[in-house]
This record gives sequence, C-alpha cells and structure tokens, in this order.
Amino acid sequence: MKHKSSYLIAALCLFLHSCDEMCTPIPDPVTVPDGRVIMIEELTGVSCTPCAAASAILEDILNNYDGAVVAYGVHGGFQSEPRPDSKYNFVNDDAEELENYLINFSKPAASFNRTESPDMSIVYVQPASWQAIVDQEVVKPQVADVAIASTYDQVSRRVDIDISIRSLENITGGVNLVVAISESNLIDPQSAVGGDIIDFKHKHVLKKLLTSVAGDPIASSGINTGESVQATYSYTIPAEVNGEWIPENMEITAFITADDRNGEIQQAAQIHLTE
Amino acid sequence: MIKNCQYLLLLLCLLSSTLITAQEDKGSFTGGFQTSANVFIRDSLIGAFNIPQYDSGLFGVQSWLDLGYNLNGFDLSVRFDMFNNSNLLNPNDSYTDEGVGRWHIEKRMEKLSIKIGHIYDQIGSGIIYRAYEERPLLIDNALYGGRLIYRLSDEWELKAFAGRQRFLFSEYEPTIKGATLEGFIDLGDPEKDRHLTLAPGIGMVNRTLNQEAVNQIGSSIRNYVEEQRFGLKRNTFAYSLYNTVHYGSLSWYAEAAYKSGESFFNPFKELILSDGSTTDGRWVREAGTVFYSSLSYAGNGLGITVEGKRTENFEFRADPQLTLLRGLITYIPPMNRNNTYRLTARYSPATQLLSEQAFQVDVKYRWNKKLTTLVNVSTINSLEGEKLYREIYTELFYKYSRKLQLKGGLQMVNYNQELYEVKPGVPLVETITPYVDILYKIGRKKSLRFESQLMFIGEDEKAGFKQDYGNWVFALLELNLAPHWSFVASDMYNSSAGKNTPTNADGEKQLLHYPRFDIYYTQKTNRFSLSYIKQVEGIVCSGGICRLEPAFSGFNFTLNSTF
Repeated sequence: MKHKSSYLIAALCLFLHSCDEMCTPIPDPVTVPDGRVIMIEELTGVSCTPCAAASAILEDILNNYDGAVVAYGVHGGFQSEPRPDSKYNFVNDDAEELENYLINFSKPAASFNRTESPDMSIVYVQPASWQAIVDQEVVKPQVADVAIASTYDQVSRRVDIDISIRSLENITGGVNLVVAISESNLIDPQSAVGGDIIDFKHKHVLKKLLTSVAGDPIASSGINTGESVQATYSYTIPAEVNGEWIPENMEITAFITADDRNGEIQQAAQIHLTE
Repeated sequence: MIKNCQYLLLLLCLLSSTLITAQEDKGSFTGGFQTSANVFIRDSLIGAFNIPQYDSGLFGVQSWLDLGYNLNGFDLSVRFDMFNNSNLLNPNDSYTDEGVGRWHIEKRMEKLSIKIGHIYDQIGSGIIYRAYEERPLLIDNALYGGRLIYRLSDEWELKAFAGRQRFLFSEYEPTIKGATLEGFIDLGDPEKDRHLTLAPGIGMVNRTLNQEAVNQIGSSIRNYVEEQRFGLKRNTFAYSLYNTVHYGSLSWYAEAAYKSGESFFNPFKELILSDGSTTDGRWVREAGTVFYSSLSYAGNGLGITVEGKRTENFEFRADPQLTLLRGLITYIPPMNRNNTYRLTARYSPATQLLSEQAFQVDVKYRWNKKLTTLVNVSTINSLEGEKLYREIYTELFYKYSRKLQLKGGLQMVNYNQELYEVKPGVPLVETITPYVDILYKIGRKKSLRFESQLMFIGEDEKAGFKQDYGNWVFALLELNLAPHWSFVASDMYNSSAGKNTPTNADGEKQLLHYPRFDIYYTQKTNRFSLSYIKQVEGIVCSGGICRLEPAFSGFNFTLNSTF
C-alpha cells in the first residue's frame, strides 16, 4: 500500500510538472486617455544602494509615457544625507516632511498618485513592479485639467507661477493643490548595487514645496464639472552655487488631491521652469 | 466584518450541535490571551521620532485572543486579533484594524482528518512550504483553505491541502496546493541492540498566480530588450525529498528541494534600458534549488551537530511581487546560532533566498557534573564566494555549588552589514564580545542573576570612526522572588563612538545610555510585565527571518494568559 502511494505521489508530481502550460502573452502597452497625467513621488537617497536602479526604471517609465507620467525625487532623511564625496546636499526640510508624510519602511519606494498599496501604505517598495502600478493608474479617466504657466525674471531670479484647475467631473469634499520645484541634471555620486556611480545624473530632485505636503485647500466643498479654480505662487530661486539652482534645469510640478477620495492625486502637470 | 460574523456564527452552530449530540462528554475548552501595549515617548537623540506614534499617536496596542474547543474528534478554534495604532506591521507606521484573524474546524476520524479554515503546516523542514505564525515580526501566513490527512497505515500518512495565503484580515489572490507522503520505517533489531529508523517523506507544492499578477509582471517585462524577455507562466511547482535516519545516538536529516522556473526579481542581474544604458536588477525566470543536511550525535556527555546548506534562486512567495517578510511560502533554516544575550544577538544574519552557502558546527561537552563547555562555529557565504557571516561562539558553564552558577565565554563575529542592512559602502563589521552570566540562589525562592557583555568593534577607516555604533557595554541585574515577582534593570552604553553614533546640534558624537527596567508578575497562568525601555536601532530575527527595527523609547505593558 505504501509503495503504491509513493508511486502515486511521484506520478502525480511528474504529471503536474509535465503539463505544458501555455505562456501568458506579455500585455500590450496601455492606452492613456487624452490629458490624463499621473504623479510619482519617488523616495530615494544618495546612500541608498538599490535607488540607482530604481531611478533608472523610473526614468524609463517617464520616457515611455511621453508626459502622461511626471515625477520628482524626494531625498528625505533616510539614506539621503550627503556621502563623504558628495558635492551637493539634496536633503531639505520639505523633502524630510514629505518623506514622513508618505511614510516608508525602506528605500527605494514610490507613491503613485498617493493611492493605497496592498501593504496598507501609500508607497510601493518594489521598483520591479512600478510599471504595472503606472499601467493601472494611467488608464483611469481624466477627472480634471491642471495647467501651469510661469514667468521667470532673470535679474531677480523670481518665478511667478499661475495654476489653473478645471474639473471634468464633480469632485466632492475638499480639494487641495500641491506645487513643487525640482531640479535635474545634477551630477553627483550615488551608491549602487554594482559599486558607486560617481557621475550619476540626479533628475527631478525635489528642492522646494510652495504649499504644504498635503496641499493648500483651493475648494473646501469640492469643484463641480466645468468649474475652474486659479492659484498663484511666487518663488525666488537661490543664487546659483556649484552648478546647483540653475533655472534652465528646474521643473515646476502641480497636482490636486481630493479629501473625499482618500487624499489621492486626481491630476498632475509639470513644466520646465523657464518654459 | 460581515464575513467575520459569518465565521463566528458557523463556529457557534457547530459548537452547539456538537454539544447537543454529546451531552455526556463535555469536551475541553482552552484559550489564551496575549497583549502588548506601548506608550511612545519621543526621543529624537536616539532616533525615536518621525513616526506617527511618537508625533501624535502616543499609544499603540496589539492583542490576540485564542479560543479552542475539542469534543468527539472535533477541534474548533477561533482567534480574535486587534491592532490599534500598532507599529508591529510596519515599525515606521501606524496600523489599526481588528476582527477574526484565524479560525478552523477539524474532525479527526479513525483514518481520515478533515480540516478547514486557517491551517498552519509545513513540509519537511519548511523549504518548499511552511505556514506559521511569528508574532514579534507579525508573520502569520496560515493557509486559508482545506486539508485532508489520510493514514494509510500506522507508519504512513498521506496529506493534501489547498487554499490561499493569509495576509492580515484577507488573503493573497494566488492559490497554493500541496501534498505529502510521510512514513516511518523501523529497521532495528532489538535483540541485537541495533536501533535504526528512517522517516522519509516526499512533498510537492504548486502555486498558481492570478492573471492580474502575471499581467503586472508582464507590464515590466514589456519594456525589456528582446534578449531579456521571457515567457510568463502562472504555475510554479516545488518538490522536496527528505529523510531522517536515527541510528543509535546518531541522527541524520537530509533534504533536497527543487523549484521549477518562475518569475522573480533578481537585484543583481543587469537590466538593459530602452536607451541602451544598463542598471542593476530585473525580472528573470529561473529554477531554484536548496540542499540542506544536519548530522547530530548525542551521548556520553558529548553533543555534536554539523549542518550544511546550499541555496540558489529559492525566492518563493505567494506573489513574486511581494518583498521583505510578505507572502513567504518558503522557510529556509538559518545556519547560525540563536543567540539570546543583548550584545551577542546584535548582529544576526537573515537567511538569503537567492544565493547562500553555509555551514555550522556545534560541539557541547559535559566534562563532569559541574563543568560544561560549548563551541559553535558558523560560516555563511554567497554562492559567488562573498563573505557574509562568520561566528565563533564559546561558552563555559560551571556549577560551583547549588547556590552559585557561572557562565561565560567569547563571541567573535564578522557581519556583512552592507548586504544584511542595505547600508552602502560600510565595511564588514567585526566584533569581539566577551560575556558573563552569574546566577546566585539566595534562598529557596529568591535568586539574583547578573549578566554583562562588552562588545569591541572594528575600525571604519573610511569614516574615521569605529564601525556602526562603536563599542558597547551591557549589564543586567535580575532579582527573582518566586513564584510571583521578577525585577530586572539593565543598561546598554555606547562606550566608544562609531560612525552611526548620534550627534548633538554641534555635530559632536553623543555616548548614550539605553536603560531598561522591567517588572514581571506571575499569577498562576497569567504573566504581566511593565517595562520602561530605551532601545537602540537594531536587527530583530526569528529563525533567520529578520527585519531592521528603529529605535524605541517609552513604556511597554504585556499580558500573557492561558486558560
């Protein structure tokens, strides 16, 4: 009896393993609804070894979506302090506050429109799965328009930013606006799995939030379809130091969140500061 | 919540019907309650801040209530879980939820056992399948489904199960099925005083991914260059052959496990990006293997255990997209000593699932009634030869008299902090830790215990400091007043600054004390504790499964009760 059973188990194993499962086709790229723009807030750091690869994956995603996905890199406290060979210090108060707001267990991690992950947090820790989350988020219908216009004065280094929000459906509850300044093309060392990358090109580094991390309230009782809201901000860019704070390398990002929709980001926009 | 109520009603119906049909046999009712409550006191100097508990939550609690009833071969069990502003799920976050965390109904008949609900089980040593609970790390990956056990004979048993893995109050989507055949063969001959037994087993597990998970992995692979793409499959099979041989004082366990090719993320593989540049880490589809063996001898005052393990590509989870401690199906035995003293346990290696080769030897010898010695050596490398962990641990136990016992020894560790704690550019941590533990029985019911460890750590030449937090001194005094009270006071002092020693506003290193005071009260099967704790950041491990815990500052209350 026992021999029969072991033969049976062995035969079952072989049978199951030999089943020639059809391969699942690799899904086609998703079709992004016109005008839909989603926001990625990447939690990163110059001393975070796997963050170099995560940034590369993020950059690939940004390139593939042609403006439908925008991002900035948050160098908060964890693994973000300058390395001994760093030229720059990307850590700032706003980045630290935002990192604490997004709450994270480890790096790299990223928030996608501040939607909740299966881990009950609003960040996703596995960069290898980021593409799939973008696919899920980017196909949702566009619910609002966010447009940014900027005027930059070279002498005073002051930039005036006009944000225009138009709702495409009724958004109930409080609506909040977040406006951020980031900078790209900053060459500085980055720890990486395969060894340090001395000339790593840091992109979209969050430099300043012009609002609170949860956003400034722009409509306390929601926005109806077709309704528009305007907001204006100004910011004086610090003097250029050591190749940092170059207006031509800087971006302005704006997005709106909805209180009644778990604080999720509804629509985002990003432009070059000197556009 | 409705789902939970349905389970409770189902259990109550079954319970009452069982009671009605068996008026005379009242069965047995058992239970247990465990709670742990924290009061968080912000201390930015030691790093206990910037998480919701310190900033605003201030108080957190987690509790489990187990109830079980056994009657007429029926075994009914239900557990209520509560997390209230708890930091157990994520040490940096706050988690609140409550409900029925586990339930099961089991009926045992002469040859057949049927069980449904949440099931804990394992195959062999757990390499291809282990469903278990580890509360300090909030691991509870019970299978939510059904299990049949059929006893073919007194020696042979066939088992099959199917279900989905539990995560908090829900389940992951992928399905898990498995079967084992386990036996016991006695080849001994009592007349010739030959004792030889075998306990062989064969096991299989199949995991089928849901279509959504496959599509999500496919979304990432879609961007890969042609030569790095691979076909996606929903099914993964894992097999294991294992056997325990007992021959006199010798015991030998051996297990070989194989996992069919599946998609998993390998952080060390090169990824070619769309612009031709490369980076680290990509999805691959590869098969995995684990070979594990343990040989032990016990007799004539001598105990020897030799263990070896080789792991390659054995990342096996409910969903390959899960990370850290989430969704683990595999449990690969650790290959280092389970240390219990504060400083000797400070650097513990987490079991590596992709690439590990490890050996451990443990020799214990009892010279006479008074003196026992122990030596443990463990060595862990990656398959590529990278040094991950070394430990030499010695212990001398001397029972001077019935009143006085002494224990002491030396531990030497090399620990690859860069890999285990993902701290880039840090050197291999090297520590030497002498320790002593003295127990003095003052009377029949009173005893005093003192323990102390000194940790000397290597230099981080690049940083210009000692490695990590530098040197430590630890001392503990424990007064036991049986049968009710126990008082413990301890302090861990950062005696010499290291690279990660906290700094003050002027940038000067602060050599801090991390005191702890505990009061324990035991009343029959109830044990209460109240502690004041200041604890440095560190690794918490259980059976080779580890996570980095942030610093803690505050009070902790626990209650463990069984009834």
